[in-house]
Amino acid sequence: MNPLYLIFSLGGVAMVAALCAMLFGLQGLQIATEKTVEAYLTQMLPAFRARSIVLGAGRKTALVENDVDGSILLVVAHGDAFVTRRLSKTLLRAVVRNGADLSVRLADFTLPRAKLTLGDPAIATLWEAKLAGVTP
Amino acid sequence: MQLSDPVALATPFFIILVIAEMVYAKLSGHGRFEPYDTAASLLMGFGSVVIGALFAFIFLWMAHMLQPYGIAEFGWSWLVLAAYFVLDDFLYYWWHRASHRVRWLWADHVNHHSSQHYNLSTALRQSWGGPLTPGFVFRAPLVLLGFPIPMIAFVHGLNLIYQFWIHTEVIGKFPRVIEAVMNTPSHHRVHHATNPAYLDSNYAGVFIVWDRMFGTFVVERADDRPRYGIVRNLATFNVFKIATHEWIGLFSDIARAKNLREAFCYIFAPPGWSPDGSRDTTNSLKKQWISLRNAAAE
Repeated sequence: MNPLYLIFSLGGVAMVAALCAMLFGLQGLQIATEKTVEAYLTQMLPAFRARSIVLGAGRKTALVENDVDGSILLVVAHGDAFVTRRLSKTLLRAVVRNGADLSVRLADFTLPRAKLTLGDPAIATLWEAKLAGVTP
Repeated sequence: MQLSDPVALATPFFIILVIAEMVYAKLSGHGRFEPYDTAASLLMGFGSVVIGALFAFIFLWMAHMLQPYGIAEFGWSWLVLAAYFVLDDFLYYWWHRASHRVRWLWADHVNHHSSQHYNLSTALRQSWGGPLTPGFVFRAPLVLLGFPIPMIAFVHGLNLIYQFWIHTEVIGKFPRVIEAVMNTPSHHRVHHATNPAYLDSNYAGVFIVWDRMFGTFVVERADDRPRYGIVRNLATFNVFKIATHEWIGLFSDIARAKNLREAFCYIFAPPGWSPDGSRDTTNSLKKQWISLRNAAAE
């Protein structure tokens, strides 16, 4: 394989990606409000009714309690889309609270951890307790 | 007969069309692009071409080993080429269907479905693990039937080229007669969708008639817009993670298997299979959806 062909191809990839960034921006999606998450999950899940939702301060991460089955979902903004994980005993490795910050570690190759800054230590404590129910 | 690689010849046009679709999407609001996602798709395509070139010798070696046992010897003619194109597409249908229903093959094919976007760059998001799959088994009958090896490689390229342009939201639906016979953007949007009603459908490469014949055809509905990606979407644009995530999952499941039966099922059962049934398969997701839909209707 001709090395020039490889270099030219990689240059082409960089050019297209740069043009895409110019046209569509790099800022990514933010979770505007709790309603945004609720609407998204209602569309995505076969059975969903929000019991409680908490957004991280960066508006990139949210924790959601599903009233239908009591499960807790992690929603993360990724690029211009959302990624969701239903937190289970096998998936959730650890929950660490530091003041108002809540960190979750997952057994997930592409989403190994997520951090939520919740602003109020009491809210972080409340969600830490909820997650204790699913932590192995 | 010497033939150029049609995919290599088409690649500059692929790039031009990706750019054209991107500009059109920006101006019209039809179609979605995300720069990191697009870059990942293009890099996956680049890596796939490099790996394909490095390991092409495996296909060629096996094909030349089988060729002497061919039951016939077809020469080059337009008729043979046309017949072969249809036959190749028929085998592609079964290979593609198996790639969704057997986890070993899904570990490779999942890469192509791993974007939450559906645009021409998604078409180029090709897997890197081809050499780890028994893809040749599906084309071996064609060698044994006596089709020329260059024809097999050439038509495979044509099939891939056809499938490029159907990865778009810009094109709606074609006239009914075309939608009845050919794989179209509408049919393939359904294939890439994670909506429960759309899972495991429309495996066709060029001719949608295979799905209609074998019961896997699902029509795109205006009231159920496709949501693209995989059931458990990836939270990364890192191409190495995209390329390996399911392989790592598969190997770690095999390592944890308690007996040979479990290991066998992890490899050959549908994606999502687990010994205790705690994970979702596409079948279980469909069942959940149907029961909820029925409950809502009552």
